[in-house]
Amino acid sequence: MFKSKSLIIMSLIGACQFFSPKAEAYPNFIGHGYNSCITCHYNPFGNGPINDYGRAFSATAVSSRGFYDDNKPEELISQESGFLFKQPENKHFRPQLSYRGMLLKQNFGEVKETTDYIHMQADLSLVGLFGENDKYIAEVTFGYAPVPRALQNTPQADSIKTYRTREHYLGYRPNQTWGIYAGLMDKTFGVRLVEHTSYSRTTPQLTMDDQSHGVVIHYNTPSFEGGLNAFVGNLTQDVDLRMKGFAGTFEYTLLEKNRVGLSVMKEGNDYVDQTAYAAHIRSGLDHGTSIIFEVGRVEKTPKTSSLSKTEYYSIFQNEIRATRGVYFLNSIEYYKNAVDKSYRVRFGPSVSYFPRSKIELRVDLNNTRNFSQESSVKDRWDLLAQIHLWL
Amino acid sequence: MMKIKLTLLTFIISFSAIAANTPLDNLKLMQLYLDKNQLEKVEDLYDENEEILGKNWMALERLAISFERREKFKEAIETYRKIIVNFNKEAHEKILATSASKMDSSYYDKTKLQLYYYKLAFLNTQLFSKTNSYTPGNDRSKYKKNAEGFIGLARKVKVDEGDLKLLEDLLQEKINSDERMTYKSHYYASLDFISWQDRLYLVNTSGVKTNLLSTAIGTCIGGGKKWENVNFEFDLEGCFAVLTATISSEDRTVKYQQSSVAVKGFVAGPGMYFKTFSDNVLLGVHVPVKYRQGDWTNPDETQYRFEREKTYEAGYFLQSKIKIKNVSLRTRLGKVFPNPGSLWSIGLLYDF
Repeated sequence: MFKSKSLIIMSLIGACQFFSPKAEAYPNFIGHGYNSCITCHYNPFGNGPINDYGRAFSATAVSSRGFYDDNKPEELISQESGFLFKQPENKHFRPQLSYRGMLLKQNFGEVKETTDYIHMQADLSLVGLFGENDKYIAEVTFGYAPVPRALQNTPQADSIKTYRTREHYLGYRPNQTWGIYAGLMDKTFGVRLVEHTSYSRTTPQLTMDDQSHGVVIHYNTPSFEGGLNAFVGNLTQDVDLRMKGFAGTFEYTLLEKNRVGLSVMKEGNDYVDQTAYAAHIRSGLDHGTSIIFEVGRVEKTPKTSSLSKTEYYSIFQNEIRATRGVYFLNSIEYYKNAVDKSYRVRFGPSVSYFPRSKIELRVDLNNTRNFSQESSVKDRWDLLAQIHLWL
Repeated sequence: MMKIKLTLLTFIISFSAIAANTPLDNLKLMQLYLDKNQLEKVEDLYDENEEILGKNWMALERLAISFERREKFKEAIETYRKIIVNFNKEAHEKILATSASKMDSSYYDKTKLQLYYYKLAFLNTQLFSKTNSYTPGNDRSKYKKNAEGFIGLARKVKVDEGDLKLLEDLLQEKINSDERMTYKSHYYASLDFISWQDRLYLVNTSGVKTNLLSTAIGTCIGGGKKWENVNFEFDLEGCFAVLTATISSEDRTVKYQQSSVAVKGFVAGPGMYFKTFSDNVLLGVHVPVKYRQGDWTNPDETQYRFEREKTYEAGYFLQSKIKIKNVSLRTRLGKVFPNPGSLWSIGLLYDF
């Protein structure tokens, strides 16, 4: 039983390595002067639907004007950033449709090159806002969840639901400083990068389907932001698989556009205990240009054996705003498994293009190199071309 | 109605032009042309009546204004100089000979030298601001010197300090802009983590080749010289690399594996960066020429020899650099041919 469940868990983790960004947080936008995710997202730590300000910012600062009439005022573009290109009339409800698809070429340029198209995300979100200053919030996101690649065409695939909710919560935010949220959410740990396949997300198991039911307390001031998260696992999972524990992430602002942060997470289920620590820095450089660096350590201790595993990761990202609508992203990642002393380094240059509001096109080229004492393995090149649409 | 008025105006101007035959008439006509912004007619009228109007400072003043409006700055300067020399010589020489502290307003009260000095300062500043890489160096320095000189004279005769400060700011802005366009050279030191993956062959006595793949990582210490202006940065650099490699056979016909192999080499070549997006975050390319040799162990020297044991290769890097004062963080990803894997480096640079 343990073996088969472990296999499923490991397959899910492994499969995620080859999936591309789904999370919708853009922590690199510290380069635009936005230190906190809550400026643009309903969820204070990012991901999920964006709020009215986030939509307007995306339309008038991030997206290109290339496909708009030169005379069209920014104010009008901003107004059209709402659901179905309309300015919201109802003050209580904010729907959002979101789609991400990816053309993935694994072993790009090699004889064994494979090509797949993956519908990564097709979500409908609904946010309810009530009370003075929208202090009561309810959010639910429901949508398509692809069968992990490793499980496709296997008997297990039949039992995997391809529709699920990745986020639903109730929140109470009496003022700008404090907020409390309860429901299914991503755990508060590390920098919530858009690339959920990065080692900084896969190593502590914080990828596309790793949300957990729990409570998040969020504290936010210009100089300090923190979140504490107690969770009991995803209640749709079998009880023995649910990862229960707590997580916390804390950021301190230095010199206005720089943030240093620490994160901790301790969790476990019937089979494994996991403890993770991370430190990070995010810096806004010139207008729209930023760097992110995160380093972390994850200990995984199986309860049925003495073979504990310690993993290390780091990621460096440099996002460069070439012009309005075009961003170059330079990612360098490191992953080390302390058991066999092997390690991997992944270079991932990419280009993001927002031709107009509600459309993002992105191309990534990943070069992964394995370093091992045992053998020399040929580099792996993967090409990822994505489209992201939201209404 | 409008059409009739225009026709009437044109008629009056044309008639006046024909009728004008005294300096005063011509002067009035010049002023009329100026008011109507018919600048070429101002100059035509002056040319036709130069003998008379050249002796009238008011006509010369209007001619200078016309030149100025048409951005014929050199001609405007020449005209103002003529006015000063022909009509204000005595006062001008007196001002030149008097120090600023001893300047008496009676020297220039009854003249328009305050205006002329300011105009000359302004026009020379304009000329200097419009210089570019095609302007002869002598002219550039002459315009700048003249502008500074006339700003000094204008200050002597108490021209409004705010106006003069504006001209000085314009001059300084141009000086700074020229400086930014000028290429400056610096030396720098570099320390990189570098990694590459390359291929060599184990060849047996029958000539059968076995592919060996080597994955190496280490440090590369060196430096270079760079030439940079506000838009571009060009460099020429080299570094000495010390690495360790794991090498193994790519197929199973011959089993070969060795780890922690010492590899040495150097990487050198020219590169460049664009500063289009930011002064502090640069993107560019580099053309590396790489030499490497490794302490590969030959399993049996009587049976095998290495091919590409020592080799020169060339390729390309795409590179980015983040500058924080004298220190830069540089990342490079590229390829050297004919190797299957990439060549990359992450390093720090220090500008001297």
